[in-house]
Amino acid sequence: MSENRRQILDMLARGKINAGEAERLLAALEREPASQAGPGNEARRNDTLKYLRVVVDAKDEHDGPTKVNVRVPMQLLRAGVKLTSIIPPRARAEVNEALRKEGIDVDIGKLTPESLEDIIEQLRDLQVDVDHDKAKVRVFCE
Amino acid sequence: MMPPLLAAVHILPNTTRRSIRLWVPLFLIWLLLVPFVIVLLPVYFVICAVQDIDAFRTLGAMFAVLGSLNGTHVEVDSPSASVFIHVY
Repeated sequence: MSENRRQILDMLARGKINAGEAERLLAALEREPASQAGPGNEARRNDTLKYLRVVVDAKDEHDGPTKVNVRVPMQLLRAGVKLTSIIPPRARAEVNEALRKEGIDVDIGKLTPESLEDIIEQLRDLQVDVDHDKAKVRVFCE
Repeated sequence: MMPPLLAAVHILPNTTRRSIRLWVPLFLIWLLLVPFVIVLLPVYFVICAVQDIDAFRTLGAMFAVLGSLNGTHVEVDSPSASVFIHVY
C-alpha cells in the first residue's frame, strides 16, 4: 500500500474526511501515475537527443560559398561536465568569480549529471537560426 | 564506453585531382600509448596530489571524454577543398 493511500484511509478512519471524499482522493491518486506515464512522455523519454548539429552556409567574398556541417555527440557534453572534477578547488572559485563578472551566476562545482540532463532536455526545443547576408547558421539538436 | 577505434579523414582539393583519403586506426595509437601511460602514471598521481585533484575521478572523466567522441562528424565544403572527418 502506498503512503498516500495509507494517509487517505487514515484520515477516513479518524473521521477527518467522509467516504465520498476518500473515494474521490483515491480515484485521483490512481489517475496520477497513469497521466505521468502517458504514451507521449514515454515516447519522449525513449527519443533521447543524440547529437548537437551546427550547420553553416557562408558566402565569403574571397573563398566563395562554404558549407560547414558539424555533429557533436551529446555524450561529449555529458563527459565534459565530468571534467569539472579536474579543476582544483582554488581554480574553481576563480572560474566562478570570472563567470559572475560576466553576468553568469553559476557554480561549476555544483554542476551535476542530473542538472545537465535537465539542460539537455531543454535543448530539445532549441533551434538557433541566424540568417545574415553573408552566412546562414543553424544550431539544433537531433 | 569504448574509445574511438577509427577515424576517417578525407581531404578533396577541388583545384587538383589528387585527394587524400585517410583511415586512421586510432586503436593502434591507444595501444602505442599504453606503455607511456604506465610509465607516466606515478608522475600523474604526484601532480594530482600536489594540485589537490582527485586523480581517479580525473582519469574517469578523461576516459569518458574519449569514449564519447564516437560519432563526431565534421564536414567543410569550400570552393578550394572539401574536408570530411568522421570518428568511428
